[in-house]
Amino acid sequence: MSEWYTKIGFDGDPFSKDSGFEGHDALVEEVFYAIQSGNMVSIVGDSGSGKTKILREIIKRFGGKKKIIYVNCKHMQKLVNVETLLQNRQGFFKRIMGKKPNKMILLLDEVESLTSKNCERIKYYFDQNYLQSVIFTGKSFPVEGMSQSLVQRISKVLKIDPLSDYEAVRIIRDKIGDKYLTDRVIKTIYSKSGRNTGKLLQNCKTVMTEIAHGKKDITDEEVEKLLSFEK
Amino acid sequence: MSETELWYKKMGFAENPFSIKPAIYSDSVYGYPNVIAEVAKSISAGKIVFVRGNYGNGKSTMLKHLLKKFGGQGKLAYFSCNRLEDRLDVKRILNGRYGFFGKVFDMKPKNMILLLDEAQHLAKEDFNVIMHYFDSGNLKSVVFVAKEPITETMPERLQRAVSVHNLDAVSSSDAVAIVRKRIGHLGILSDDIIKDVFKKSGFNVRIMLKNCEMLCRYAVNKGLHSVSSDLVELLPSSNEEKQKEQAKPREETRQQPVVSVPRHFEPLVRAIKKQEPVQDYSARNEPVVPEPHVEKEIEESFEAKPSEQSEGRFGMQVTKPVEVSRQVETSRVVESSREDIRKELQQQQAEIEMDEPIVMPDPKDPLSEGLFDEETKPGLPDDEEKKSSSAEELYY
Repeated sequence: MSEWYTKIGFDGDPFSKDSGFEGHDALVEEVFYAIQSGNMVSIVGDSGSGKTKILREIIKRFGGKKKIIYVNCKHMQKLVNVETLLQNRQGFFKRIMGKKPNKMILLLDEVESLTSKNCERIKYYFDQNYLQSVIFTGKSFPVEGMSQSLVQRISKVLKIDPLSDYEAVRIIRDKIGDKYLTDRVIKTIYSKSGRNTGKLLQNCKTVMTEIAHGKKDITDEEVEKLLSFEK
Repeated sequence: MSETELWYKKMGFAENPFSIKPAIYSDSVYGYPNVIAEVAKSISAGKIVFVRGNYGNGKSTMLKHLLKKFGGQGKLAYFSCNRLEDRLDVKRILNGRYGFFGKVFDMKPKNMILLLDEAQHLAKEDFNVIMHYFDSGNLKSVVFVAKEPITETMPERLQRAVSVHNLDAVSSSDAVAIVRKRIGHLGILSDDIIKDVFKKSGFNVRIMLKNCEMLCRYAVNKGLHSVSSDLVELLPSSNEEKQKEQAKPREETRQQPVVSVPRHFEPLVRAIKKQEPVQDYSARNEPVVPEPHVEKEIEESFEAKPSEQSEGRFGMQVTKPVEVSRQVETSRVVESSREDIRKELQQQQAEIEMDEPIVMPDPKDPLSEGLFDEETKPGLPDDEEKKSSSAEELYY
């Protein structure tokens, strides 16, 4: 049996492919500035609001010079700490000598699971200028493990706003082109998904699956029916 | 945003002059010449010193300064205790002086000076080890630095030997000197403005540096030649002040339901808070049994003494007891009325939290645009949701 996307002429699932970056201009500029000027910044946003996407954008911008470390704190177990992360960046001989690189950029995803020990280490390496800049990303701020002196060092807490309707439409257009779904339908789906980008993609996928299975025109009421059925 | 558009590059700096890292600008320190002179004297005299000071007052910067002053002869070791795994390994620090051979042959230097940052992470055993090496002459002098007093965890012998110094907040003229050292005598920040910013930052050097960075960045990006005092007014108030402001009204709101609800209902309110079933109260012989005939009495008691309830600190409390009684009257079912009262109390709390004074720049002021980013820009006064959320986001 063929998948739904092959029926309407896509090679792969359009919603799973990585697409261009949309929106959050002011926030991204602020993060770029913090990295260049050597500050710590914390990004706060719900799941699906595009935190990891922003981090990927930073990697695209500053990557390639062996300066960026991206860590998802969920996978950071007790044994793996920031110290070894920094040392692993160096070659074998420098690692034996205990040398550490200078002016690294540390991107931390899901800081909720960051231990207080690692927070202290981050503080130390930031103070010693081994870390030029640290970006914390999580659902809330401040996190449990952070001491007050680390919180004081963080220069700004940036909150991710939901995308505007126009930007949401741009994202969907980027993925599926102009042929399916009118702008108005996308906007309705967006408001139905609580202005959350991750949910918008999910819901658009269900609607598109329905289209692939034979429905030609999708009106607002039908969208509502589909999405309420989902719930 | 390209590299050349950074504000400090426009001004001719290669790096951010207001960096809060203590490692960069530590060759000369302002603020507490007496403390530094005394610490330096005790180091050369071979004593144990403990320096304490609040966050961002320059403890680490002072240590870095001492490093530069006494360093260069291989007699100094700096260690930040917050990267400790479990125990402080003084032996390894001492061996490290001779590099690889030191580790192999277990060589230990004499008369070392040990600087320990963040000493609150040290345990009693660590202090004992330090004392051992101090007695054996391997350590000539030890400097502990921490925010909280750590003398309680020290062994008694060390407590007697240690001399304590305090790093107080620096004076405003010193704050001016700190900024002048970083940006020179540029006209963008005048001395008075720096003093204002310092005051606004709660007399904390680190927060002052962050605020200065924000102001200079805004001014350069807008093409202003100097930072005016209006801009300083727009800065968010310091953490401590904010906490004080927020702490007061919140305490009151916590007490508020107890004050506003009449005495007969106090156990009921308590039950709502703890989410216990109301039936428990009859077992405890407390006077609330919300049956129809009792409700009438309660209502009468409301009408009889409304003036007593209105003596609360909030004007709105006058109406509350009546509303609560109405709830009971209409619903007649204890379980559902409990839900309603809880909802209402939450609403009232929310209203009062809205009323609390929020120190916020004037949103209509054109100058406030861009000083804070889009996310932290305060909303218009009429949309209350935005206002309350932006108050949280201004967390600094």
